[in-house]
Amino acid sequence: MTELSSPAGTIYDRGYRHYEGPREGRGRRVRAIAVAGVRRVLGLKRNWKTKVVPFGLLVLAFGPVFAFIGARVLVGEAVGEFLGYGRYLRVVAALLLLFAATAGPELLCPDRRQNVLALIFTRPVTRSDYLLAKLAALLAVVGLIALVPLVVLFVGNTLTADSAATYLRQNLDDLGRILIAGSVLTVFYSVVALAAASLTDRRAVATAGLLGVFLGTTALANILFFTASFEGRRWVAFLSLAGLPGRFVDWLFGVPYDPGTLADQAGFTGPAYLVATGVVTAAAAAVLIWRVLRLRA
Amino acid sequence: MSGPAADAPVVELRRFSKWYGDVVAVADLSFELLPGVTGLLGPNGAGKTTTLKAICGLLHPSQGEVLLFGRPIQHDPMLYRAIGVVPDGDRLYPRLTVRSYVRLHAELQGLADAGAAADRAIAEVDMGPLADRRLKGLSKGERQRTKVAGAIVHQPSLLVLDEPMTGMDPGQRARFIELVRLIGSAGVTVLVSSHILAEVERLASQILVLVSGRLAASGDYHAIRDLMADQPRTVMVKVDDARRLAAGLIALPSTVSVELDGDALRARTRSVESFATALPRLARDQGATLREVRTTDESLEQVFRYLVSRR
Repeated sequence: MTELSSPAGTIYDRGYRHYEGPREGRGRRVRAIAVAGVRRVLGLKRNWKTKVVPFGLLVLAFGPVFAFIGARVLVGEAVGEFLGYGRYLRVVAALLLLFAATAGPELLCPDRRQNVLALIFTRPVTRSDYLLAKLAALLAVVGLIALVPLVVLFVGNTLTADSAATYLRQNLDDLGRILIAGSVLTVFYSVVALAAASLTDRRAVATAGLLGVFLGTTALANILFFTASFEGRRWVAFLSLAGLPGRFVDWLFGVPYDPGTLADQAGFTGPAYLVATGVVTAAAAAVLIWRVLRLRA
Repeated sequence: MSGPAADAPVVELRRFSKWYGDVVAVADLSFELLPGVTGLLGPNGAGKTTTLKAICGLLHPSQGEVLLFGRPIQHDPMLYRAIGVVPDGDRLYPRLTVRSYVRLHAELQGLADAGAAADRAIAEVDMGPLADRRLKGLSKGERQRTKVAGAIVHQPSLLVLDEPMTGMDPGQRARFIELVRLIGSAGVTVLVSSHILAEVERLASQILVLVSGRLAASGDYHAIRDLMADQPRTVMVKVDDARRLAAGLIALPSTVSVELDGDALRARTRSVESFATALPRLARDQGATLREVRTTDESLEQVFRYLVSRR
């Protein structure tokens, strides 16, 4: 900016000029949308009502872990074992479904509902950037529930054990399982929730639809399995979307299926459910990509 | 991104057509935009928004080409670094503050110092005192100015504004017009659509007029008015004896009609040139004193009304 100066004053040249400074790359654009998405989902810098659901679910996911670790710090190993990583993940999986079913639509639906896509797509942002950013935002917040509480629990168990080194040596495999199981749950729920959200611009419809499909397929699978009699009926175990990643997680941590349940009687092992989880995730990803790449501003 | 071609027009439409099923929105539209402010005019349904959307890369031409800096924007999203767009309608994130909204756009443009760029753009649209207010609590005019700040945060070479002054109060409009003129005078190509002709008249001398999806006129609107040869023009004459002069004027072959209005008369003529030649001679012959002579239908509205009505 040029200036004309005299002892008495200064006249600034406020003339308009083109920006010729440095520009950052694709990562910055994706990060900007992703960060805005995380803020939106968690209700950050918004009124308290938008924080109730996300922070309520975070408290449910983290609360027992911190309470247990606190008790271990105060009383020591006399507190005994926590629920176990696998069983705790079962609890967390239910929270993940609720969280993803509200967060996914929150990320995608308002952009179309409030007609802001024209503002986004008249910037150097491609549909793929947009998709990547939204997915990154949801993976981050879902991962926060699926991975972090158990990692914290593992660290807490290690630090409050009589011998941290011994605990770590004996249970290091669990850390690997936590990371694998948490990642599977995170990717599965994030992709499926965004795919559902991409089909409508109404958040409530997307949330209700996703929960309805998960609950409905579970009920349908159980009804078919326990009431019908036909060749190969054990395959209906794969109809229950909500059960797919959970059964893999149970297998991974060596948690037996509850006796008499569909999972117990169908006779499939964890890898089969992992493949089914992958197939559903891939199908949801295909729907999501198809919908987002064709978004009209 | 390879930089924009230096010698290519900023915007060039080559026989651009867009249709939706059987409905033709825009047909065979060709023009180039030059630096400075150009007004895009047309009645509802004329194809203004379709044309703007095509320029902004938000829709594909059914036929023809839309080139920005010599290249089709659909194949090169990095061209958006050089353009700023204010779409029509209320497209904002209502819970963001003005500053965070403009900053988000600076980040989407990859500006190194997004915060400083946002503050500068906010100041340019006079939104500084409201920078920390949420968008949902702002008036329509304030939201419009925020959108403009988001569009100019990266100081683009092409600025596309679709009905940008909607909801602004007269003071805000005046300042906004001043800002757009300043941007245009700095060599930026600005395309403004508006249905308020008085605003376009103050903003832009270059106009594009669309009627029924076709280009009805383009260029300087004064020049367009001069080309409207079949349209009689009105000349207002203030004279000390209007009645006597009116009798002389009506006898001129180019005069269509004469109306008396106190000490003034309004003559409609097919040829301003012959009228201007004959008037002083007639006044001298009749001993009348001319006090004021001026054409009264040079306004953009007159031009627009004429172009729309002849289709």
